[in-house]
Amino acid sequence: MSLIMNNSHNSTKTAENSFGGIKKQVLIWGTTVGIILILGFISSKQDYFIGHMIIMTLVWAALASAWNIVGGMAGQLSLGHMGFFGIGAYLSTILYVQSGISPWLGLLIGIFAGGLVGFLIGIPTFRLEGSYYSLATLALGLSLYQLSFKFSGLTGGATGLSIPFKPSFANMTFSSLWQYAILAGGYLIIVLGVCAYISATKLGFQLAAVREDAQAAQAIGVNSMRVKLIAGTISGGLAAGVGTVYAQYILFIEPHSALGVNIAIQAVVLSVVGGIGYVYGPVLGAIVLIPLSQIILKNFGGSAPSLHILIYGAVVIFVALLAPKGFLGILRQISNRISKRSKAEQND
Amino acid sequence: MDIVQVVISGLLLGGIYALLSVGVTLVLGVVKFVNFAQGELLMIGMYATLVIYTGLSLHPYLALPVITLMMFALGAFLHFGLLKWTVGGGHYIQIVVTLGLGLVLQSLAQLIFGGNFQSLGEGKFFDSVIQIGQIYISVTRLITLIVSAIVTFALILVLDRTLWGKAVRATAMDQGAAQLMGIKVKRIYLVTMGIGSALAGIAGVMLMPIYPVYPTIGTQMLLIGFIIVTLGGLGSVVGAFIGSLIVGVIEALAGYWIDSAMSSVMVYLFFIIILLVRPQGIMKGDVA
Repeated sequence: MSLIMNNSHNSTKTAENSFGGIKKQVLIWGTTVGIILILGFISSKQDYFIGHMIIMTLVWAALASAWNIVGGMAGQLSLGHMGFFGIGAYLSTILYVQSGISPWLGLLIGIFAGGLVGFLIGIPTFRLEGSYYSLATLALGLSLYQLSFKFSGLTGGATGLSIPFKPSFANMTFSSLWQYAILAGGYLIIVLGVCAYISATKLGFQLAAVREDAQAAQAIGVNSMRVKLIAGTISGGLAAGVGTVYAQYILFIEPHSALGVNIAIQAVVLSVVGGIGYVYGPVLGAIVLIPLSQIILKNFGGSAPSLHILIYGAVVIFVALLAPKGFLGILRQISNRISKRSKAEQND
Repeated sequence: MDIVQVVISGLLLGGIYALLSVGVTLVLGVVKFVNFAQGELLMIGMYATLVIYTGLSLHPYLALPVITLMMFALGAFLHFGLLKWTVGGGHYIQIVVTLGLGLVLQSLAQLIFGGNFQSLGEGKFFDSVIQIGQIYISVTRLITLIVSAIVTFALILVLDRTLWGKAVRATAMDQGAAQLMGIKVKRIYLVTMGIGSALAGIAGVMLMPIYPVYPTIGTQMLLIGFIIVTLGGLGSVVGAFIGSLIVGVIEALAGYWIDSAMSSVMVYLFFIIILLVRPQGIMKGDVA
């Protein structure tokens, strides 16, 4: 039954090889942590461009993964994740700059606020079928963008807000790139951990059921409104946290970079290209596309400033039409075919 | 007296929205297709007007037939070459693909025209005003409202009175049954997508003398278009027209009472209220 198909890597293990499942989990997480430590090390050795590229990849991977919870697992295409991102970026920054509250606390407050907004926007939209959630989230994001100009006393308006450079752990401000790579990577691990947990538990299966066929899911007793609201809340909260991390890295936010619609579109593009609904899909998308776009921006930024957007658009069209499960879907298909072939050879 | 003036400017603004949202609702109602590149089609219409005006110094209204035909061809081409593969695939993939298409069109516009705001320039024939008592009506905007009313009325007439219109309505109701009745559903889809694009083009032509063009103008126009379509009832051409006028007036009143920077936020808030109170819209969702 396609209904209970779940996209997680390791959730469909039966009881007898659950030990193998745990082993695999440890392996995956060990590798992930290792990779991020190595990336941190690389960013301390290489020039600024490489270090910046690594951090941006981690930040965008975290945002796309957060988006993926509602956009992929629940199948509700949000176009408003710049709103959550901006809530996190602006809240922690305003609290820090104006009241001296540590960004670590600001991060938690941002996550809470983002989750609350993610919950509230789901109420009028999740009970309706069709593209209302996409439209409402887009309206939310564009509203916050407008409001950030309106309340310029708080947000600095178009001029933006600068975060004073006072490196210390308590200020979540660091003097070298590798520390930011660890910060962004650590946050990415938290987001991925939540994604993996969701897809391995009942909630993940319920979300998959709602995504594949909402009416059938209702019929077998899934409260689709409830599970979608949970997904929207978690996704909004985690996306807000990415905003805080981003703001603390760049040390400057303004409406376009923290609330621009391109942020939400980037999250969609990375997830679609990497593999919508898979736990590691958006990460793969970020690994492929962010370095590519940074390199294009570096080389053609002067002569053709929107060339990377053109490539984003073209790639997303091709992937959506030809490989709707993204790069990760293609990889899994290939590995399935290989393992089937080797099994067939063993049986011969 | 002020309030009358504000309401009138709102109605005039609604005229532009109507051209865009009638196209959106037609495509949504007949082809069941969510086109998130509709705003970019409007942007293309605006740039085409600009190019024809600066290159040939042809008045935008004289360029209207050319651009309408051009945009019809573009819409049909996009449908035939790309979008038809996603018809019937659900809204999710349609949004993703048309979002990608929108990105491509936006960045092409950015590469060709740059990111700056561009307009037809001050003065000339775009700023004449009719004065009735203490109320001022911009001629350009009045023409826009009249054009959009004519286009909407003509479309309703075609859908309601011609055999072809009957076929379109049948397709909108049940494409499978329509096919069994010998209606060439694929051709109806193609033409409908062309008309949707042509309407966005007309909206672009009419908007150009009033508003500057820039590559990302489509996003906000698109959202307002879909809000109007929701308000009017999905697939209802009359609803889209009335909805446009309502949204135009709301935007103008919000700008007058609160702050002009807040007018679009008020429209978005209004959208959330519609979703809570009357998600099916004001008109029954049949085409025409």
